[in-house]
Parts: sequence; structure tokens; C-alpha cells
Amino acid sequence: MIRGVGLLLALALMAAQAAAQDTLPAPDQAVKAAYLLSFTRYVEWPAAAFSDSAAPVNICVVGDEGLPDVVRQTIDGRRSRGRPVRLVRPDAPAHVGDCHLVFLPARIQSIDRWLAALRTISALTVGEGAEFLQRGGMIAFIIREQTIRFLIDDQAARAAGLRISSRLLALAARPGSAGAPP
Amino acid sequence: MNRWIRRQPIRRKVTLLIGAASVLALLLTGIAVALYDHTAYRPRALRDAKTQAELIMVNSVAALQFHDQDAMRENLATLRSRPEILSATLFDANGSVQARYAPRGAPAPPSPLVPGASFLPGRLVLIDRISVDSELVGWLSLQYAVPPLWRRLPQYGIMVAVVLLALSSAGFLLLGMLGRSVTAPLLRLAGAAREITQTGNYRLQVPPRSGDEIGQLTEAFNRMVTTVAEQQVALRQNEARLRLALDVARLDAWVLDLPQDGPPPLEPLLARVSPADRAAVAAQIGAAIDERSGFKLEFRAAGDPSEERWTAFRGQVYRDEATGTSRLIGVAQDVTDQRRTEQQLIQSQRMEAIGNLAGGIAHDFNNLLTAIIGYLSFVQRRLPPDTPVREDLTEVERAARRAAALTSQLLSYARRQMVVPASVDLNATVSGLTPMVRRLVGEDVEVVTELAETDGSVRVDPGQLEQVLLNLVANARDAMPSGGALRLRTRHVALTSAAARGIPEARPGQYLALEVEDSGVGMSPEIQARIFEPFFTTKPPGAGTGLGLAMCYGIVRQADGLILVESEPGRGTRFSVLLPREGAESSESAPAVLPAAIPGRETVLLVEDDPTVRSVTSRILRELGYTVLEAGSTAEARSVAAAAAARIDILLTDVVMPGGSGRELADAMTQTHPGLPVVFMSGYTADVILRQGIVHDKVTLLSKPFSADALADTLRKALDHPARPG
Repeated sequence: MIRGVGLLLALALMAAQAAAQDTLPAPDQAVKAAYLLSFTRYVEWPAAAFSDSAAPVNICVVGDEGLPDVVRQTIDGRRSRGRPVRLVRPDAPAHVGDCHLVFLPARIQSIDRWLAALRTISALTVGEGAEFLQRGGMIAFIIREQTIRFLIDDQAARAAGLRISSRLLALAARPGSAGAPP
Repeated sequence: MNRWIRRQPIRRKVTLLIGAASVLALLLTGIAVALYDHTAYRPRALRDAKTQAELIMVNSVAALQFHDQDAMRENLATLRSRPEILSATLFDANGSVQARYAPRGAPAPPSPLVPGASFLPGRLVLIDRISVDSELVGWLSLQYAVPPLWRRLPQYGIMVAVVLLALSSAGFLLLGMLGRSVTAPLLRLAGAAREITQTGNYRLQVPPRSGDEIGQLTEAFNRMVTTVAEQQVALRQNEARLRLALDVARLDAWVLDLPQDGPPPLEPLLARVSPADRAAVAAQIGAAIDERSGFKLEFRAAGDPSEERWTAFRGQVYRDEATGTSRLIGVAQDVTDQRRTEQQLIQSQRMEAIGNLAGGIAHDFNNLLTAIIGYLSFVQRRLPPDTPVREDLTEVERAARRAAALTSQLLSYARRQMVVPASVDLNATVSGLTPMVRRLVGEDVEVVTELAETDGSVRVDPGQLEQVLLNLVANARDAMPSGGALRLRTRHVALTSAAARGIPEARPGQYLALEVEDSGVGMSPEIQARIFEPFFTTKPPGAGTGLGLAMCYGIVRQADGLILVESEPGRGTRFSVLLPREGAESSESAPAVLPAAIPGRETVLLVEDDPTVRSVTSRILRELGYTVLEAGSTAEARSVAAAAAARIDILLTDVVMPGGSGRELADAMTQTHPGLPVVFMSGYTADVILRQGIVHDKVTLLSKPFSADALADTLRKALDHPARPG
């Protein structure tokens, strides 16, 4: 009987998800948006990165293509390590001063420029594809066994004064293994 | 069960005790373990499970956020080191399984995910939410093995074993200590007690080696032994004292255990009884046992029949109420001497009674004979010298004198003879009489005299002493009809107190003995017992009066002496006359030879209560030429004396008279008439008067019956040689 109820419940949940996908963004974007938030929970910024203890974590998403909206929906009302989370949309590399995390989609042309602009501040840079790390990025989404995984260059993060939690490092995929950019 | 335990040695009891305590301790340990398990094990399991869950959640929260199921599985796989974790399942926030760890195929977790912990049979199910920044990211369901107690018990085995080992070691240690401090001293005590009982060595002491109860017991034991030893010593002393007392009293104690039923074993007692008395003694003792009373009986003792010994049994039946047994306890005593003394006492009392009787008769006879003899003399004087009647009268007078002699002997026996004691040299008396003795015994009998070297004398009436000697000699002669030997012996005898006790009426002191011993027919004990009784004779009728030895007895006793006889039939007889020895003293001068009956002119005051005697006496005196004043009593005598015109020259008075004695009268008269001579005349001398001292050497006595001549002589002598009052 209980098993029957459990099955019904599972079917109901699946039905709800299917209904949501009609209006919601693509699953990849939602996953990435959720991961961006989760990353902030496993990174330690220098004290100077926040003006005070209640200062929000700013997640900066460069470009558009719907992702910023997904991120906005995802972070709405959620917190990271007690701080509120805010979506920032810098329109130029010069405007990344407040960013704690910057997502640079692979589609944008001036990734190197953005990265260069970000070298002066302690911001976690997240990109797509393994080559993003070679460019100097810190975390790169990759697709492995049909799921979204990520690579981490801890050296780069340390160089920027960031401390990535070992728990996150442990979840990172091994670099060098094959993986196509999403 | 209790009785069985009580019988066990202490060591086994303690072993049992320790065993029981161990079992109890084990039981308590078990209960404690169960309680501990319930109160501590489950919370601990819960705590442990929660800690594990926390670890898993912390390690899995990142993997959940990033949907990294591999990481989650790896994470859960670390639980392999914790076998108590049956399963662990991670769910995402929607409740779908992300990773599952169930190495032994544990049951599936309950599907509605409700946070909490619940104990199910054999396991603990813990469900918890996993959240980050207050947002749910997943669920953890953990199943933790909580095996039932019986399966966990082996874990406690070591503890139980340790407890058991500790208890056993403690027990063995305790047993060892017990052996050293309890059992061994107790066994020492028991050994000492056994040794004391067997050897009687009450000086044995057990050294106390500790101050505990055993030590106290040892000290108490020692004290008890000392007390018993002291009591033993006291008991032995008492026993020795009792034995000595019995010895001194010539008592012999005996005890006879009586059987519950059946005849009493009297043989040991009856063995002491002469066969003649055995049946009677057995019957009397049997009766006493039946009545449970005491008894006292005398019987002839078994032994040499020639020497008759008497024994007395005094006994009592004692019943021990505690054991229900009876004993006959008593003493035996040789009562031969006692019996002999008793019989001698009875004999002397009988002699005394007979003497009193005889004395009374003799007294009256004397008065009668005095009259007869007196009047005979008157008749003879008046008759012409050649009348044929004179011969008849002479026969009458001879008969009267024989009667007088008889009464005199009776009085001697009765110790009422008038005696005039004097110091007498025994040797001289024997020597003087020896010629007469030879004539008396005849030629067939050899006479031997053995005289002791002694200068002592005895105090006795000399005439009476001669009478005694001649009487004994006559008896000796009669005992030797076909001849033999007669020994006359004097010797000195010292009678000690002990020797005196064996002889009735004897007093210890110095004696001179006159022994008359013959080699004649001898006498049986029965005859010996009676020979001093008056009128007892072994001679044919007419041959003896039966008064000879009775008289001897009376004379000797009156002189405070003893007369003893030793005789054996066929061997002869020895009479011993013991007289108190007097210090060397010149014997009284022999009586002066009196002049022939002489008439007198003096005035005589005659006092005599018997009218016949007074009358005949008065007439004799008057015929002699005396003036006679008569009185029938002392009172009359006084009035006569007071009224007398003439001077009274002499007082002649009876001794015993109603209304006052001659002694009193004499005392009174010598007061008023100083120097008045006094002559007492008497049929006997009452003991009372003798003791009062009236009879002494200086007083003149005249025995009734007296002849006219004797009266004349006595008066003349008293008048011519007045006695000095003494």
C-alpha cells in the first residue's frame, strides 16, 4: 500500500516537472544557474570583497540569451552562506568591480578581455569548456556522460585570493579527460 | 538441607558460601548488564547513528547540490568500516534516490520521508533532512543495526569472565586465609582437647596466636582447662580426704549399679556376708531396693569362722532422674568391737540390776539374822551347859551364820558390803596366803608364785582381798580335778587410754595385777560371759552357791579395780584382778589384838529404826553392863540425848534410817558432845554414803549381822581408842 502511494507520488512529481519545462528555460541553463549559486557556497572571498557581513553576493552574468533570467529565478529568495544573492549584469569589462562571481558564456567574443579585466579583483570566474581554464578562468562547465560537470583551476583561484572548499574541489572532474564544451 | 550444611566442615561451608556469592554476583552482573544495555546502549547507538548521519550529510551536501551521484556513492562507501550501519540512502530534495549503500541487502527504508529516529526490531532507522542555507537539498535515511541483547551478550563475556576470575581468586585467597586463621587454630584446639581427654594432662595450654574470636576461644579454652585442672586437684584432695576419713572411721564405701529390671547384682556385697546370714541380708537389701529406702543391717562377716567378726551395712538407693538409673550406695563398717562393747555394757547393767536386787534382799536378811543370832546367844546363855537342846541350838546358830555368810557375799557382789580399805602389799598378801592355798588345792596341783618386783601397794579391804584370792583359787582347783598347775602372779600393769576403751568400766592408769592361772578345763565364751552373775554356776547342785565370782566381782569393783578372765576350753583359765596402784605408803598396822569380850559401864545411845534389831542390841548391851538409851529415829535420838540426865559416852547408830541418816546424827552429836565416839552398824553401805566420805579409816563400822562378842569388842575398842574425827 505504502509502495503504491510512493509510486503515485513519484508520478505526480514527474508530471509537475514536465509541466514546468514548458515555460521554464532549458534544463542546462537551470542546472548551470543552480550550480552558480552553489559555487558561491563553497568559495571564500577575502574579507575586503564585502563591505559588511550582510553585504550580498553578487553573481554577474555576462551576455543574455535567457540565462540571466534563469539565474534571477533561481537565486530569487535564496541565500549563500547567510548572505543574500544578487544578480548583476555588467555590460562591459570595466563594470565588474562589484562582482564576486562572473559567468562568461563561451558564446561571447571578448572572453579574454573580460578575464583580463577581472584579474585585478577577487572574483570567481566561471566559463564553459576546458579551454576556458587555459585562458585563465577558474571553473569551467563541461559535459561528461550527458551530465553537466565542471573543472576547477585551483591555482588560478588562489592567485585571485580565493579559497575554494575542498568539498567542491572533490566534486570537480579530473582535468585532461575528454569533454566537449556544452 | 540445613542439617547437611551444619555437618560440613567450615572449609566446605565457606566454599559453598563463596560459590553462592559468586553465582549471586554473576546474576547481579547480568542484571546490571541488561539494565546498562537498556539505559545506555540504545542512546549510545542513537548518538552514534546521528553522528554518522551528520558526517554523511556534511560530506554529501555538496555532491547533492551538484547531483554528483558518484561522489555520493563514494561517500557512502566509506561506511564499510562501520558494520553496524546496515544501509544508508541519499535522496534529492524531491525524494528520489541519489545513492544507496546496503552491503548486506538491508530492507528498504520506509518510503514516506519523515525526519526522526525510530527503533524497529534489530535496527534503528534515522531519517534526516539535508539543507544548505535553510534550503532543502536532500534526505538521508540511515539504518543502524541494534541487535537484540542475546546476540550482544558475547561482548559481555569478557566482563563476566573477569568477574568470575576475580571472585574465584578472591575465594581461593579467602580459603587460604581461612585455613591459616580459622581452620588451623580450630584444629589445634580440637587436637589439644583430644590430647587432654586422652592423657589427662590438664597443664596443656594452647598459645593464642590472634586477638580475634578464635583467639578469644583459645583463651577461653585455656581458662576452662585451668579451671578443670584446679577442680580436678580439689576433687582429688577431697577424694583423698574422704578416703582418709573413711579409713579413720574404718568405713568402706561401695556403689552398686542397679539394672532397670531384673534381680539386683548383690553378689559383691553378699561375698562379705557369712554363708549363715547371706539369705537374710539379701532379703533385707532386696526389700530396701524395692521400697527405694535406706537400710542398716548387721551380720556376721565372711571369713575365719573361729574368729567371729561383725559387719554393718548402711545403704541408700539413689535414683538419678536425668538418666533414670538407680544406684545403691553405702558403707560397710566392722562393728565387732562396737558389738562387744555393747554386749559388755548390757552385761554390766544386768549385773548392776541383779546386785541391787540382791543387796535389798540381803539387807533385810541381815536384820533378821541379827535378831536370830542375838536371841540365840541369850537362849544359849540361859540353858544349862549339859542340856541336849544345846546341840540343836548350835546347829541353828551354824545355819544362821551360813545365812549371814551368804548375805555377806551377796552384799559384796552388790558392792554394799561395809569395807575398810587399807593400803595392801599384794606380794605380801600372796606370800602370806600361799601355804593356805597349797592346802586348799591339794597335792595334785603344783602351786607356782611369780611375784613382780614392785614397791607399790593397792587400796582395798585386806579381808576382802583374801576372800577374792581364795575364791579364785577354789575355782581353779575345781577346774583341775585331775591335777595341774596353779600360778599366782603379781605384776605391774599400765592401762593406756586405748586399752582402757576395750574394757568396760576401765579407767586408764597404773594398776597392780593379781593373776590366778590354772591349766584346767577352761570355759567357752558363753560361760565366760556369765560367770560373774550371781547364782550362775557350772558346778553340780549343792556344790557351789554361784556367788563366789559374783562376790569377787563386787569386791574388785568396789575397790575401783577390774577383774578379767581369759580362757580357752581345754587349755585353762586365767583370772586377772587389777587394782589401782597406790603410791608407796606404809600399810595400816595390823588390827590390834582385841581383849576378850569385855563388859562395860558406860552409857550408850543406841539409834536403830528396826525394832527387833534395836531390841536385841539393847539387850546384849545391858547384859554387858552398859546403860542403854534407845531411839528409833534420829529425831528421837536428839530428844533423848537432850533429856538424858547422865553423860552419853558413845553413839551406836544405824546408817540408813527413814527421817535422817546416821551420818547426820553423828555430825550433830559430835558438835554438842565433842570427842563422842561413834560406831556405825549397817547391813550395807549405800553408795551415796560412801561417796559422801562417811567411811574412812577412822570411823568404826560394825557389820550386821553381828554377834554379841563382836558388838562388845567393837564398842570397847571405840571407847578405849576414840576415833579422831577426820
